[in-house]
Amino acid sequence: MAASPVNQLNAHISNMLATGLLDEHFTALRRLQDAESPDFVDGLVTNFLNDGDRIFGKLAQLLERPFVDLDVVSNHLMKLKGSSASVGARHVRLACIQLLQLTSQQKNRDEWISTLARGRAAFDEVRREFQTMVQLERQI
Amino acid sequence: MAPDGAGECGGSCRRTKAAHAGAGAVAGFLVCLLLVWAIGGCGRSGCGGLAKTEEMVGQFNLSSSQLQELASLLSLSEKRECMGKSGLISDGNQVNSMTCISDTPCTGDRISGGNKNWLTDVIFEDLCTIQDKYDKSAPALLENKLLQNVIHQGIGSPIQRNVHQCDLCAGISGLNVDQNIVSSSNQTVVFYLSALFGTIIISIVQAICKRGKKSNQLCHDEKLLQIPSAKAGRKWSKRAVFVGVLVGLCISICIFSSMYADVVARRKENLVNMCDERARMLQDQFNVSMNHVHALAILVSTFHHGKNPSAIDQRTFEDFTARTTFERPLMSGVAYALKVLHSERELFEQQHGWKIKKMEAGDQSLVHDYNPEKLEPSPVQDEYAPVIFSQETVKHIISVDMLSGKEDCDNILRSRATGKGALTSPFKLLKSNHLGVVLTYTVYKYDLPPNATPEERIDATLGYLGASFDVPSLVDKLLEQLASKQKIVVKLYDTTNHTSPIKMYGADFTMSGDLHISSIDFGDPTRKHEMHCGFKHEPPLPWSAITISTAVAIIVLLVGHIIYATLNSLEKAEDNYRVMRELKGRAEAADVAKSQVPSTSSNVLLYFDVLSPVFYLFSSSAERLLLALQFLATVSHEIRTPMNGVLGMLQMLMDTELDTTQQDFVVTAQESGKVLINLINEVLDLAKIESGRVELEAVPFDVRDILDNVISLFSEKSQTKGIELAVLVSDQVPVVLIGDPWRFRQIITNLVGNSMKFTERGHIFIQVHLVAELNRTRNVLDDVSAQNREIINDPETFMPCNTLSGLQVADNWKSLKNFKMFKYLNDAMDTVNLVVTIEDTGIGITKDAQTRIFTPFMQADSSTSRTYGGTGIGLSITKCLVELMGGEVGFTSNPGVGSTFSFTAVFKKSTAFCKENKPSPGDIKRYCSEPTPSDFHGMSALIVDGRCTRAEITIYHLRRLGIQCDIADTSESGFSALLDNSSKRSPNMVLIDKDAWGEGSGLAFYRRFVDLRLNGTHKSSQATPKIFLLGCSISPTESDYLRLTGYGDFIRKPLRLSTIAACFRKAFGVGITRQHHKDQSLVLRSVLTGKQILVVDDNAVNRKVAAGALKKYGAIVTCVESGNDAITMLQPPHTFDACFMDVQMPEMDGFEATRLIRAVEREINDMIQTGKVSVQSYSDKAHWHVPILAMTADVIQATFEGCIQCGMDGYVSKPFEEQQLYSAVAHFLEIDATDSVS
Repeated sequence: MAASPVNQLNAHISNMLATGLLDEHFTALRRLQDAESPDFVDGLVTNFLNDGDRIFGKLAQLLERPFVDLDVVSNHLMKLKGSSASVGARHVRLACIQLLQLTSQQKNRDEWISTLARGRAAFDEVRREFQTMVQLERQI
Repeated sequence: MAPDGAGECGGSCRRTKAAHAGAGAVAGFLVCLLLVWAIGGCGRSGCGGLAKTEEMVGQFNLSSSQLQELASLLSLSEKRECMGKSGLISDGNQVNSMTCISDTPCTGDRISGGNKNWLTDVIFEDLCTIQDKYDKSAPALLENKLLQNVIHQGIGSPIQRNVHQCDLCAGISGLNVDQNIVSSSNQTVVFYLSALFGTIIISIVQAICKRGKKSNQLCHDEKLLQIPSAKAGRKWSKRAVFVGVLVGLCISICIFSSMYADVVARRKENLVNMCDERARMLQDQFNVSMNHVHALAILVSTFHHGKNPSAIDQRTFEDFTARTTFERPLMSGVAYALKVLHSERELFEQQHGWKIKKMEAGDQSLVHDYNPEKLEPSPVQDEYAPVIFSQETVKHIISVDMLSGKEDCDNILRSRATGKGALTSPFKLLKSNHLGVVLTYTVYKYDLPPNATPEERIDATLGYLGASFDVPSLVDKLLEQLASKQKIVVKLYDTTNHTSPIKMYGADFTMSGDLHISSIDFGDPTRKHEMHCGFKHEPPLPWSAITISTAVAIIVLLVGHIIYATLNSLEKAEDNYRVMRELKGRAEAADVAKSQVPSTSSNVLLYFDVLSPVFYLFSSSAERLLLALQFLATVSHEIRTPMNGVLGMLQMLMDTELDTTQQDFVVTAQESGKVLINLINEVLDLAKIESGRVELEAVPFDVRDILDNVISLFSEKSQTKGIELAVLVSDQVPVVLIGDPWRFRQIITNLVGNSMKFTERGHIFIQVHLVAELNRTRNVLDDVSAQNREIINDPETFMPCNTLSGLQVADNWKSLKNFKMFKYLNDAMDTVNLVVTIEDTGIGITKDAQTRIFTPFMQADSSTSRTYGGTGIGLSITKCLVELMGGEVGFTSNPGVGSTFSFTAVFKKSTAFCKENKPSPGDIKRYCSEPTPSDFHGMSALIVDGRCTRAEITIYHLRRLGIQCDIADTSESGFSALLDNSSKRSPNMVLIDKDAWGEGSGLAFYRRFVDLRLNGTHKSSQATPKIFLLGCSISPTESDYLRLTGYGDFIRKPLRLSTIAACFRKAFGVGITRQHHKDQSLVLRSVLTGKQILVVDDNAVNRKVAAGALKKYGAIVTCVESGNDAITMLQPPHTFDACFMDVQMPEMDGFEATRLIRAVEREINDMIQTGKVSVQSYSDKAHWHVPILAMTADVIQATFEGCIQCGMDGYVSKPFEEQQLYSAVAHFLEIDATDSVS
């Protein structure tokens, strides 16, 4: 029995929730979506993914410089943290918190880079999943 | 590791400190040493220099006087006759040059003579050579050189012939050398002493440092046992310091005494030298004079006896002697007496024309005008010695027979027998009244051989030359010439007769101190003379000795003090270290105890373990605790955020379809999470309270409402546990009080929660009374209840106690009595003193645990937390809060019976506050309950209950609803009250406890009532009263029964106003004017529908989510990206009902934006008020205040305060949560909503 796109989508989402990739805020978002704004989650997620992509790129750029402006970094991180929290991308949010802590602790670059890579990996995972989700959604 | 590190750090610190102190001590000591050395050396060299110059001057004086003397000596022997005898004629030139150099006033040719010429010659020769070498125009230099030469000669001369002169010179140089040696040796001694002292001190300091290091090491090695020994060592080293100081003081005393002895010795030596010098000079002078007399004798023999006729007559003699007086400066007179035998007397008398006269016996002492004419002629004798020639000064003695005077006779006889000069013993000279001696020389006919017998000599005698010495003037003149004569006192004695020495010269000065005696030889072997010398003044204080020894003593004391201080500081540091160790040990013990406590909070306690080393760095335990709390607060805050997520997820999970097992798991997880959150909140609270950052609010609130609130919190628990939970607030407690409702609530919640935890059966009963009221009733009770108490205490009777559940409780009065408020009752008008008691029938607290129950993290015992969980932090928070409120907390507890906690609190009476006058809608909404429903006002109720306490509680609640109450304590009286419709107005309702007289008796009563009704025995036109059963739980069958019969309803305990009111409403179908918002989202929707809301957030995603969420509830949402945009949008007039503002935004954060918005609003409000602007231009709104809610991801207390400070109305966490959004929005939007609806 081929699963219907709706079922597939639901299964995918519940899978994401189950793996802890997403948190309850995403379900809250899903609840917000109604007939008036059918692309609410879709738009939001796309928005988030674009934002995240941009911010991670900028962070990587910033960290390549010999002197890192921590204020700029933390501003970016704050923004990403906010977005990911709203979307419910739990792993990304946690990574952001971790990175923010690093900014206040003046840790060495290596730790920075490894943490950022982890964050980036989490983000990539979320992006992959989200893209799948968006595709599934569009199939409906 | 850290404590070790700390110890090491402390140790090293101490070590460096000690090293510093040591170095300082050494440096200070060295500096002191140098200083003293410099001063000493200076003084020494100064003194030495001075002494030397003095010495030089003295020597110079001496030398000049000596030269003078020499010159006079030479001049005395001017006689040419002597030239042959001496055989030495000095060159005239030489003499001249000599006189030039020596600057003496002697003129004329100087011929050395006498038997002292050898030295003179030597000197002269020297002088000549010197003259060759040096220019004449530098006399001083030459004199100096001369002096040196003299000294040199004195030392170098091996010749002993001229003993006196040599001795003199040797004495001078010896003195000099001696002095040098003495001074240099003194300096050396002092130097060695100080060096020794220095080394001793340095070694002591080193030893101490070493010891300190060692002790540090000991401490470092954590050998606690070693510490006493180190202490003992310290004691010893302290003693050593004392001993050292004593030794140093002794050394300083030694220095003083040695220097003093040195000074004394020098003084004595000085005296000896001076005395000898004087004696010698006197002797010399005398000898010189004697020589002159001798010369005169020879003169007489040559010219008187040698020539015929005599070349000398009285006139010539007078003339000659007068002209040569300067050569005999010490002689008052010279006279020549001829030896006349008796046979020659006649002839002689004739020849001279006068009689030989006898010397009067007493005339020696007479000082009258001497008249030789009056004298008796000499009696007949074998021999006479009449004076024929005499100096003018003694002219009166011419013709006097010298042999007739006793002294003179002796003298003459001795003189002619020995051939030498003879001296008389001192006697008063004629005329001058001075003491004097007479020197007699015999003139012989021919030169006698030196070994001639006395008989030959007597035979050869021709006459006698006598000269009288004026001793005082002699000595005076002599001393005049010498230096430092004023310092010294000289006395001259004739000691021929040892037993009674005759004083020849000397003032009546008493000599002070030492006395030196030097003997003088005046050339008469039969006579002995002595010179006594002494200092005139007391010796001056030996300042140099005093200074140096004092300095040494001071240094010793200083160094001793430094060492002592160092030791003390070491000891102190060690003490501190030990105290720290002890604390550490204690803390470790506590830590072990804690780690043995497995509890839900083990995670948190784990942090204690991890961070304990950090805490140990702080010595005081209170400080450590504070630090721990602060740390916990920080950590807890971090924990709280994810925990909220966990709880939210769990809540969501519960909403999904789960099987019972899963449900159970989720519930358990949620419960645990809640406990953890609670704990964290408590920790945060405690940290806040402990750090003193809690400030109590002062807002009006309703105590009863607060208590209802608390009850509702615990209702679930009490129902599941089957515990009866009840509140009773005395009707004397004012409705509205001013204070901090949150804290008050927290205290009660904590205490009730505590009771709830340890109570498995029975009841928990909260009572609120006024202190004054309780005091009054208690006093009455104390008087009358003696017998009651006996009954209660009697186990035989076993009456159920008159308590809520009938179980025995701990008597609270004991603890209450100790409260200050009860002891010193003050009835201030504006304050309300409440006493709240929470009584439970739990397990109670054991005696030993009672002491530490208010200590943080201390539970009654470790098994408690195992059984009941919790950290024991709540009670300590409670205590702090109560104290903050100006009250006290106490408890009474009987193990197995129960505990009763009670606390007092001071609130203010709200004076002008009543419900009609709402100061601000927000405040009253927040802190005051919704007004009690007035729908039941005027109704009456019958309370049927066997236990009056329980009945009272019911009455209390009903009264709040304005219902009149009657009590029936038995079922009979209840029925009679119900059925008796004749007189009394029948009650609208009957409230009966489910267990009014025992298990199920309430229901039995109801059944009976229903039976009565159904049987129709009770015929009444009146409306049947509703019957409410009160109970903790009801079985479904029972509830069905109630519902089916239609007469009754069930009110679930614990009773609180809202439940009762709701139940009544349902039962009577009245008063339901407002829908109770069961469904929050529905309410939210109703509240938010059609509202214009502005969302300010820089993050697009967040913005969208917020907008989406708000739209869901029907709001019309506008979004802006920045604070600046928000300000523009919210510039009045605008149509927004609320604004959600992100706190963290770039450029302008939410706080700043809000502040600016508020400023603009204030300005416009002011303008409208003052009438500058018409209200119409601001859309008819007289007061602009748009509610601004902060959106924040960090929900922290500080942020909330910040929100309020900058003019925000509240905050919601981001992303939105329904519950929170509701509570935040409801505060200020609901009122508007209801207002607009109505």
